[in-house]
Amino acid sequence: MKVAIAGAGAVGTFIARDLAAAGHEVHLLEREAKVVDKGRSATDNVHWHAVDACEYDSLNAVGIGEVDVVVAATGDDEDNLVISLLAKQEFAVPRVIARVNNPKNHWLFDESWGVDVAVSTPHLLTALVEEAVSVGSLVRLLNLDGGARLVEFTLAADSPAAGRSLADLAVPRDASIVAVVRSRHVIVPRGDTVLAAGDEVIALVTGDVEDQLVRLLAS
Amino acid sequence: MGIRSLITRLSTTVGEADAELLRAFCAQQGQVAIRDVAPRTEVTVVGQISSIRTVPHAGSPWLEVTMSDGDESLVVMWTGRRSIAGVTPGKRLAVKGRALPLAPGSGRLKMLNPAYELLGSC
Repeated sequence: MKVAIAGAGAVGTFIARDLAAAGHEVHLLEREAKVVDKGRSATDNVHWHAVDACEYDSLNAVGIGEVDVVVAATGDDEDNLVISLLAKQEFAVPRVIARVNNPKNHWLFDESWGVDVAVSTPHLLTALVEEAVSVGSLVRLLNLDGGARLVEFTLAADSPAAGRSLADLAVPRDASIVAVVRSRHVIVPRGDTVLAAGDEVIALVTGDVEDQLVRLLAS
Repeated sequence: MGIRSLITRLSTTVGEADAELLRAFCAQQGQVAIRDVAPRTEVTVVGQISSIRTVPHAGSPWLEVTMSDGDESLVVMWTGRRSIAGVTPGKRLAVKGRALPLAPGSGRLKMLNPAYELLGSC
């Protein structure tokens, strides 16, 4: 896969090296020439470019027209929006991922700005904190475009769903159980899968049916 | 005019005749046919607007225009617009931009906010 990452800060550099190590072709775009010179010597397999990712011409020169994924990972939300919009609108990049620095700006990172997935560290942290205290309550893991979201629910000992099979549970329309994690093993859910207390149920839901799902799983 | 071609003309449906006219017009413009458009390369395509709708997307209205060149159709979206003067069903226009699949894995294409030129109606 060909990936372009804008912003060689701690986040951008880490993603770039991680993806390059996984065998992807990674292009890292950074405005500051100094940062590029410093980073280039230390890294392998990452293509560094000392360009401004907010400029159409520099994106064109780097070859954004052929990349599969663009990650806007700069520390500036305005820049990330501009990069996302240019990538989607001018270069028709299939998948655009943008980093949200200030959670107050999260609402802006949507389709209108060309963003397919917005990643907000504070929101992820809230999700993780919720997860720590989450037995018997629903944790939102990820919002997908199209209004669906990935949620997780850990079954408490007194959950009405424990001991029942999925077919028996009658999961509402617009909700789908995509995996069940039991003692570190992933179980592919089928109609005859029987849930047990302590299971982590991962489901895809749209907003309206979330409450119905909670009623099925919580006591 | 031979009797054979007269019979052919009389027996084609209005839809087919219209499509034939449109194909001839689009071919005359010398641009890429919609079915030959490669995703993600900059192209100019010519066609006639077959339908228009306003679709809410991410909290704002998007103008969704379907244009056809007589063979294949292309969806053009203008973000944040309810209407564009001159862009109405039946009008012919040229749009320039990069196309991407309408949905992941879909064979149909869409363009986001392309540059456009009105070519009048038929």
